[in-house]
Amino acid sequence: MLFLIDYDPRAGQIVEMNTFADTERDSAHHARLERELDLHRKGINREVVLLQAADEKAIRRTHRRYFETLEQLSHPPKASNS
Amino acid sequence: MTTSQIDKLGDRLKSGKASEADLRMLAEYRTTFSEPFARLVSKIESIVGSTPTAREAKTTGSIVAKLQRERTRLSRMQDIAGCRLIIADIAAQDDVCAKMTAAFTVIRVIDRRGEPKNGYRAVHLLVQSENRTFEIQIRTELQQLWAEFSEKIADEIDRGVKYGAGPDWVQSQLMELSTLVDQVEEFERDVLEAANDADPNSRANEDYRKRIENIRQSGQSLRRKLRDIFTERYQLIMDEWDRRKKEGHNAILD
Repeated sequence: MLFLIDYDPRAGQIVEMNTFADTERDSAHHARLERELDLHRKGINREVVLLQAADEKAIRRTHRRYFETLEQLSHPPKASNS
Repeated sequence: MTTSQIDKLGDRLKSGKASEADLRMLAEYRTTFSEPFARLVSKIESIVGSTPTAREAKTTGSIVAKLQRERTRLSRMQDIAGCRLIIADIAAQDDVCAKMTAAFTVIRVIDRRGEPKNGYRAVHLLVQSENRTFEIQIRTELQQLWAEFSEKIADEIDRGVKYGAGPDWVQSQLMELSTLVDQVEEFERDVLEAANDADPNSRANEDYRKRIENIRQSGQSLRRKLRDIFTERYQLIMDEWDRRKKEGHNAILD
């Protein structure tokens, strides 16, 4: 599964997240480019990243920073499933 | 796309004056990693038995920052595509690294556990496959905790923190936490090695097994305490950050 994440580092939160099936890789690439171009035109500096993982739970484990506040990050993850 | 075209694109990105055409060209370049990378990830899955989180292309911002920070060319950047594995502990990390090294053409092992970079500890493997280089990040849960904590602080307080810059009062807290992570992990490794090195008679001895189990439980207790320390340090950093914000911007940067 592919996750296109538009993250605002200063605010520390996701602005938008879109998901794509593994078979929709071209669409995901296109969507990432369009998002980057849009931000570029508006002069906005954000982080646009395309990640692939088994599911959202996996992304939330490996990339907690996108989903959690600093306070939440300072606490242990709720579950460990390495 | 030729190497020269890629590097000229890198120069334009580095200058901070990328055009829309440049962003499209970068997207095209990044896409060339996509299929070989998907095959690599699939192979990793079969080796470790779980799916890593794959980032098939570094973000534009990270590419630009790296070009500006380091004397590297875009065509030579070795971490355009990469993936991340989170492993329970340092022994499991050693095991996964060994499996990866046996399965892939590893051109460089960057072991930052004993020699952390700005506090960051992990093992990164640079793997060659289908004429491209990919980065596999292997972190333990504690190394991951530190890395995410540190990056989030960089997001919210000062981007420089990520690269060893930023306010000293933040850096010192992060360095201390990084050292504590290392101490807990080394303790766990020592316990494991002691258990493995024991002669068969000792291992069969009930008292010996109990002692090892008690030491393991101490390790778990240390982990819990370390997590509490992260929470305490978070509070310290935020209190100090709030205080400095009230005092004015200059004080924040001191």
